[in-house]
Amino acid sequence: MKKKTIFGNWEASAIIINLICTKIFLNFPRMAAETGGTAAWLFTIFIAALAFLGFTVIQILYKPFEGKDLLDIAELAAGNPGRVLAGLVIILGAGWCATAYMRVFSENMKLISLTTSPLSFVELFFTACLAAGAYLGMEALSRLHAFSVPFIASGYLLIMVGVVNYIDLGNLLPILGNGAKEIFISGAPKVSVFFEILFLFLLPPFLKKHDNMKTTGYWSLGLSAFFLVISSLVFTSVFPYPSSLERIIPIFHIARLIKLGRFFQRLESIFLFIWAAAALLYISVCFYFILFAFQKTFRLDYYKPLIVPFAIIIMSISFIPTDFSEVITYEVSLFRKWSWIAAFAMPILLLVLARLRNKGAVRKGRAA
Amino acid sequence: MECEHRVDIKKRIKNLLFFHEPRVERPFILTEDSEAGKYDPGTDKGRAGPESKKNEDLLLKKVKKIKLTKKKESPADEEKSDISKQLSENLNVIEERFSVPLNGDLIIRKFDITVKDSVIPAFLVFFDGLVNTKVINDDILQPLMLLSNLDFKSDRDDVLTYIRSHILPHNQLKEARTHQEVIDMVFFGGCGIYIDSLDVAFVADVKDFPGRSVERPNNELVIRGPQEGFTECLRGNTALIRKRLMDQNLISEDITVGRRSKTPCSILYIRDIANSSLVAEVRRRLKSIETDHIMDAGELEQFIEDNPSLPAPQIIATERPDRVCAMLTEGRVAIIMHGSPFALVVPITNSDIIYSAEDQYLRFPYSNLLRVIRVLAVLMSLLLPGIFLAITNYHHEMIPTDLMLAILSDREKVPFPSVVEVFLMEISFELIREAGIRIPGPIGPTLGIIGALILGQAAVEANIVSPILIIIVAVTGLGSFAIPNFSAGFAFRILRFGFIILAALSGFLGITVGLVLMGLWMVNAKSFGVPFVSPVAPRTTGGFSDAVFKSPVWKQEKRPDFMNTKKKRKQAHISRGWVNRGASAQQSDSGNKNE
Repeated sequence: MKKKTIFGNWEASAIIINLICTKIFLNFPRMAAETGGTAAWLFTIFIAALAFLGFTVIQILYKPFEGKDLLDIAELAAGNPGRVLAGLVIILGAGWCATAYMRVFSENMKLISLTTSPLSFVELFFTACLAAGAYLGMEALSRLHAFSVPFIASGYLLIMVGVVNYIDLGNLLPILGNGAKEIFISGAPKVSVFFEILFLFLLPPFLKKHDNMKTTGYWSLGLSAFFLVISSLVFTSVFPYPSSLERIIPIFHIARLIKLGRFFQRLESIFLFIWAAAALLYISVCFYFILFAFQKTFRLDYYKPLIVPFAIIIMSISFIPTDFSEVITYEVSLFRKWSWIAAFAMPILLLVLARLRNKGAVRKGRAA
Repeated sequence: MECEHRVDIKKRIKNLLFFHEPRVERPFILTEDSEAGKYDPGTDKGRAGPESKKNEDLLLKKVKKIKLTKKKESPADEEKSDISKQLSENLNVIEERFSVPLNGDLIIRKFDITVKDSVIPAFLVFFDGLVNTKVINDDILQPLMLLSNLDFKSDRDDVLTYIRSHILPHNQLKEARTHQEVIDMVFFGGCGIYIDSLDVAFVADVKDFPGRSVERPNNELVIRGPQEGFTECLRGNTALIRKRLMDQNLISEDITVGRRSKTPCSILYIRDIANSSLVAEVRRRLKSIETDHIMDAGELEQFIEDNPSLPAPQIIATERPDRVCAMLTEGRVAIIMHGSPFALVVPITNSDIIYSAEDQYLRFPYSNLLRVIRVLAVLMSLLLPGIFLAITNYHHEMIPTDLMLAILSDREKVPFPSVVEVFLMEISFELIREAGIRIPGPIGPTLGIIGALILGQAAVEANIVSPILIIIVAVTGLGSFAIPNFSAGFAFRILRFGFIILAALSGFLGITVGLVLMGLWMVNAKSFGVPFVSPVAPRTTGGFSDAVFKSPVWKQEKRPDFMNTKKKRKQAHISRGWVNRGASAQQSDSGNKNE
């Protein structure tokens, strides 16, 4: 008999918040500055509003499918091929997130503190964590998120508060940055920043009730939007626009500015703790979702035998890009431009199809 | 033998390489109380579980039926007697079972009772040293031998009733229907009385074990609060609890553990507060223990804990009766074992192992200060040497220039890398600690001086370690001494070495990986069905009034939610009735009614 894992809104929200917000430590503020210019914060608010809209449509359509995840819905909508197709999309999405973030975070770690260690050695630590997380399952991961996300969020907010004396509101001008067209039209596909909301649609079996999913979705989107807006606002107001485009690890550069008297002048290393914790949790959850989706797509009884081979595959794939900037280029110009199709369009399409088929089945049943 | 060994190795390799269906496991999870789990010490039906709601009513009906039929049954039907009416046969059985005459401390005293003008032979059996001989003389032998032929105005046809009702004045007299019952009682300080022509024996509780009296607890000293600790005597320990908790619903269930040692244990809980399925689970685990001997609560703890590989303890072992009482009122279950001065309390969460009994007795600002200090102590005990290594090896920029220069000049003459230095000092510190415990009392302080002053000073002067490391190790040691739970101290000491290795390998990244892995391990653990990191992960309502910071005593209105107790509220909404002049009595009443 399988043990049924159920957790609450808080745990689920913590997972989604961490999934969406980890990119703050990676490259989000810079990406926002690139797209919106000095109006990076406005761009972030805009894409957050789009994400809210997308989620509202999805959650309304989701109502009759309480307790069913996206793969169940894909099966209802288009049978086995639908389930397999949706499963592959999720596996590819989660796979990209896990591999790209593993590579980028390892490269960053190497750059900042482990300069003499080989990349494979640094990645081994990430691999150990993702394997352990997947082995212990969603219950343990969700609880760890519930415990550690408040600490990560507090640490992040402390960094933001720490540089308050460097904020120059003049850096936010002109108010519309690169222009309305750039922000509201070219920037719209960047709603893919919220791609990780897709994983919320794999959580309904754990959350049970539709209301829980709805609450989790709104809370996590709201808090994530808050953190993302803060990061872009602080980043663009601390660094003038031209120099902000040169920062490889934006939040790390912000943390380097913090000075508390003569003694505490280099606090950015403490920032490594929250940064590494967020990344480790992010990669572990993505890896779990890969296994979960694979198990469900191909109707396997167990996922644990997949842990070691998949961990090796993820680690190996992360070595393919020649360097760190190549991964970032793919991430920004490809994944964060088109992944909205998987995160928002695909669920809407599947839910509409499933609803139509459901209605058809009900009608047939009545006629019979 | 060799062949068996080979097969074993093959099996292990096969297990390692090929996939096997996982074992079907049904871990115990503490959920809301179910009727099926209600108090019924005779059966283990409390473990019916929440999944079969429909069956619960049926089970309840069955349980009620059984109880009703039990009432109708006569005691004779309950257990078949193996005691003979022939005294000589009984004497032979007893002599054989107690290995007479090999057992020098077994006393068999033969005598005659005169009842209704007839002489009935009888004998007593007890262990010298386990019993109070004066009680045997005054309350058993004297009445039976001298007073039995007094003229009582009653029906003398039934010798059994006559002796029980009129002759034996002892206050704890039981009738045993089997030899085994008598033997078990004799081993636990009883005195067996066999009388010719009766197919039952009397057992009188006359225990008087040699042992120490109630003293101050050795390991859980407090400044404010009771100064009594448990002893090795089971009944004395249960009495220490009853003395404080005069609740008519406080149940003390007896159970024996160990096939040969037959160690008596008591399961204590408050019937209308503790979750019935929790009580049933404790009972089930204790009954399921299949071992010959069990000597201490420390062994018992290892037999019943959920996760043996978790470094942190999942059961509280306390020698303070007041702490047990406080935990019982929260809906927990205590296990007291004869021969151990520690009571085990389940279930627990991580906060229980770093909080002291004194926290409840101090005003809340004081206890919160102590809690912050203890959390710092835990962090220092766990991470300080690792952080030192990470900073000196990987994150030099963190150290202000002046301090870095000071550290570097100190380390200049030390020939070892800092990780070797840390390991040397940590191992030396552990050696001093272990030697300090094992060494005879009067030499102990001397060793402390040698360890702290001479060894440290000499090591610095010999350029084996740097002075800053001495400070780091000393502060780490202080941190581990400030953790109130002995077992938790061990856990953090073991994990500290892991963090030292991780920090030496990759600085802060290694420490973070260690914290994440440790976090996963901890949040996955359970103590008797309660998640170990409750109420934080998973987050539950209530229980926060004492989970991280302590709120004032009068604000701790509810029992922790994760305990799933039968009664959620432990005091009225306005517990300090005097704050509402005039309406105080009414408020208090309504608060109780809300329950």
